[in-house]
Amino acid sequence: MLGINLVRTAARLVLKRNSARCLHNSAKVWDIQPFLMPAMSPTMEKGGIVSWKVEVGNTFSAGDVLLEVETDKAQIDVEAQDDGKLAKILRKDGSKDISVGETIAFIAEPNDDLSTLEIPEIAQDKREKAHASSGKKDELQAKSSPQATPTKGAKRSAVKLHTANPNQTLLPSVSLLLAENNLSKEDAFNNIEATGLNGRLLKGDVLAYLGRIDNENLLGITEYIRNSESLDLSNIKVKPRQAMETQEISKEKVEETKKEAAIKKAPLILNEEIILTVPSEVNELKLSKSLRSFIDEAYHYTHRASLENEQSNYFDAIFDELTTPNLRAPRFKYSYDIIPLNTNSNNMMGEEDDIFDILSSRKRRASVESRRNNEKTNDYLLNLRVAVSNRFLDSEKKASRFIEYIKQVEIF
Amino acid sequence: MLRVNLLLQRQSFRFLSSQSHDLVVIGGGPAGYFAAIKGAQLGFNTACIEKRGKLGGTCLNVGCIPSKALLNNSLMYDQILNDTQKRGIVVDKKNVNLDFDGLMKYKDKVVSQLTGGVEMLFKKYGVTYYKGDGEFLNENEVVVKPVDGLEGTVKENINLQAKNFVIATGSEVTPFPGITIDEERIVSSTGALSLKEVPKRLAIIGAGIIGLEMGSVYNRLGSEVTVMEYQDKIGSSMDDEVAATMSKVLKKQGFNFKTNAKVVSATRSGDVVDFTVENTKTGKQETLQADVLLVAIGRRPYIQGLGAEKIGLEVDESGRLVIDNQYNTKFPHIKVAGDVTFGPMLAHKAEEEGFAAVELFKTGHGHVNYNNIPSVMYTHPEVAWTGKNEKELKRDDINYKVGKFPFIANSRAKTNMDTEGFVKILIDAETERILGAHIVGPNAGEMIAEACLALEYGASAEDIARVCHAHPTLSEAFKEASMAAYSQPINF
Ligand SMILES: Cc1cc2nc3c(=O)[nH]c(=O)nc-3n(C[C@H](O)[C@H](O)[C@H](O)COP(=O)(O)OP(=O)(O)OC[C@H]3O[C@@H](n4cnc5c(N)ncnc54)[C@H](O)[C@@H]3O)c2cc1C
Repeated sequence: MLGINLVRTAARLVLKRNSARCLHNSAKVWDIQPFLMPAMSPTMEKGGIVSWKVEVGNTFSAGDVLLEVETDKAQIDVEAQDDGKLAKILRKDGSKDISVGETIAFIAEPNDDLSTLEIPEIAQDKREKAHASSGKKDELQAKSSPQATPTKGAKRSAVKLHTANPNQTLLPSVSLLLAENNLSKEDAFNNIEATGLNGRLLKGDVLAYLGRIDNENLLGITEYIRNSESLDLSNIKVKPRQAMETQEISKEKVEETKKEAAIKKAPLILNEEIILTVPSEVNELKLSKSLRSFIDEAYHYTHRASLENEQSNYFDAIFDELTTPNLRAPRFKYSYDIIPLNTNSNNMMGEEDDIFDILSSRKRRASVESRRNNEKTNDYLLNLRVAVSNRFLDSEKKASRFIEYIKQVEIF
Repeated sequence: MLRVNLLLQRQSFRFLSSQSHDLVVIGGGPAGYFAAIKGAQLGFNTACIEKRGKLGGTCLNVGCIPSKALLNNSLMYDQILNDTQKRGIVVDKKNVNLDFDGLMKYKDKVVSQLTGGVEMLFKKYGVTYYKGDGEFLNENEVVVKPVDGLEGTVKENINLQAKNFVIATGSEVTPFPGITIDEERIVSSTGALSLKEVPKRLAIIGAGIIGLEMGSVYNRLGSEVTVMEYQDKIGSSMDDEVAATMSKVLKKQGFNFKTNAKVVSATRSGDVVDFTVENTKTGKQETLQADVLLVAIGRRPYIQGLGAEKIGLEVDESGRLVIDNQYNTKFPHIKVAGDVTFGPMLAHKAEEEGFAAVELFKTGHGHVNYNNIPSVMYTHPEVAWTGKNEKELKRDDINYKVGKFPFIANSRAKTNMDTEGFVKILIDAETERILGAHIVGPNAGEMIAEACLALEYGASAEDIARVCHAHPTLSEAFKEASMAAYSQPINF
């Protein structure tokens, strides 16, 4: 039994890194979260709200339709990716021209008492909001957009896992594997996340759960297949229609080239010092391990995330070259040191938490509280250096988003 | 009575000359007629414009259907002649005759039955059918113009306003620069489907699916077939191993292949065609002669006379209408489906897109899985595949395993003395999920459906192997190949 249990924890660990759903299992206080206007297609920039399908104060479950969004192309239902409660609606039914990423509502945990929750000031400017948004908020946004295409070729899996659908007939390979390993159907539905269509458990899911294959490989192949399922509409070379238009574009091109040249002249290094307050049961080794994966995730996340809305199928070939230079190319490089400030190693018998119980992207308030409740903490200085690539126009924006993302780290 | 009739007619003209619909579909091929019928089923007031005079597009009129009619019957003829003796059936070869006209008539009959069938379906589901040439006046209006000499065509220009449009104007033969197609001696696939007689020598430019299928028809009927391919192998869209096998098999059947062959020129002189081929490796040129030359180098999107550019629709460098992942042009109420846009030029792909486009109009959701669009070549043996091939998996750095099973070890194939080919299953090395299936063999085109189902639902090779397959059937080879992929086959 022990063997299986160990394996199970290992599998769970990896899954957690890839599933936002699991993050709040470990969160003790769940702050109210802004709900952002989702991008329903890669080209969508603005949209309207046809109607909200959930009333303020009511709870909803993952999969429930929250609202109907209207783009210039279609009306699309937006489903909740998590259970929650609608705390406040900012943009009412019939609102038009809402930019993707704008806060349209606030949502809370299903059990939260709305009367005790403070609804934050509505951020003013869209871009500021993008910076201020924590990983979780963005995840909410990204996940609430069913049409959002995963960035092609991204090494890190952006695959959305499903809870296994409990109404499925198991594939023969799956039921046999379960039987061989003394797992019941219920065990499987509760504990194994599914990569198949509509929550279908596949053989690979069980193999990964049992630790027989590497979870990263499972996610890798799943993403590979999913990426192949849509028409490849990248690199469309539009035939230029009129000389006039071509001229306009080439003017634009000159402008862009100038801007780019300007950027090229001044390579940029950003420095950021972040103080981390860490419960004393987390030792330095553990902290540095956890931070490494968190920062790595932030790195990939910031490279991936903001590209989504900028991809358009309508770019002209020339324009295309400038606006979507190699998506995979790094926009910045980073390095960091962790410096202990006042280590007092008093509690050595802390429970063995896994890294996601330790690390979570949460709000300040939570940490203040936890510090008040538990005095046994250590402070560390995270000294972060980011060298911004001068090859791309969006490098600096992405680099500062990266830093903002990391500043949201909370350790408890 | 006469006066009343006249009046009525005039009235209906006025009534017709401007109409409005919820959905107007331009083109009545697989993409268009699926979109139109689905649209009507979903409650749209739907119209479909087709200028050919018959519904079904390229596929039913000059593509899939007529070619398969000729393939099936030419195979029967060939088998009666060459594949009976060893089975204990005595055929007096001298008395086996080919009625080429009859063969063609049979094909035409099948075509008109099927196209007529689509017209019936339009009636059944209430799709308004305009026989005429559709052209956009602006992004909200299309004019249907009469087509000269076409029976049943609209009598005058009719303007159609609609909330939504689907463009499904399909494709046409890609011309060969410098070679004039007269559809008699120098023909496209369309001409090859309606020759007057079996040519003694048939030369084909392009060893793709259409070239090899038409080559098979006439090879069986007695032509001496030479296929010239610019690339270094035939069947460029196929898995390499499959293509190599087919090259061997077709050579055995009598095909001549010239690969690395660039056709430089071709001219008709009377009843023969002289053409010059250059070997791209050696630079050597040779001049050859054929009775019919078939140009089968592919097809290109067709938007002539549609007015697409006029209303500002974008076209890419290969002439495809530019769309996003919901089939939208720059106007979200004008969607595009089928050969005229991106993706493989296949009838079932066109159908799926026509369907999805209309569903997107209605509900905002529509689904086509481009990783699982099967291809079939109806030669003998047939070739069929879906998903990834080995070259693609290698290119994408995927760690995969191969399971192969030859039909020579399959009891049904052996019983039928029809053992050429194999089933090849490609699976992910770790998860054992099926990534692709490639079949050369009898009835491969039917067998591929099992692979499609498996791929769609994320099956592993084991999932196929653990499903009971009837014995003795060819499908057991599919099961055994799956077993070979993740474990071991039993019968090999
Ligand atoms: C010889 C041959 C064999 C083939 N075999 C197969 C096969 O076995 N399997 C397979 O899957 N595919 C096969 N194909 C391909 C298949 O025929 C096409 O992929 C399919 O027909 C595409 O459907 P579509 O609706 O996009 O276009 P089409 O079938 O080309 O239909 C478009 C229609 O629109 C009409 N149209 C165009 N412009 C206008 C206008 N302005 N106004 C009104 N009407 C207009 C045209 O007349 C045409 O009928 C074959 C093709 C050929 C040539």
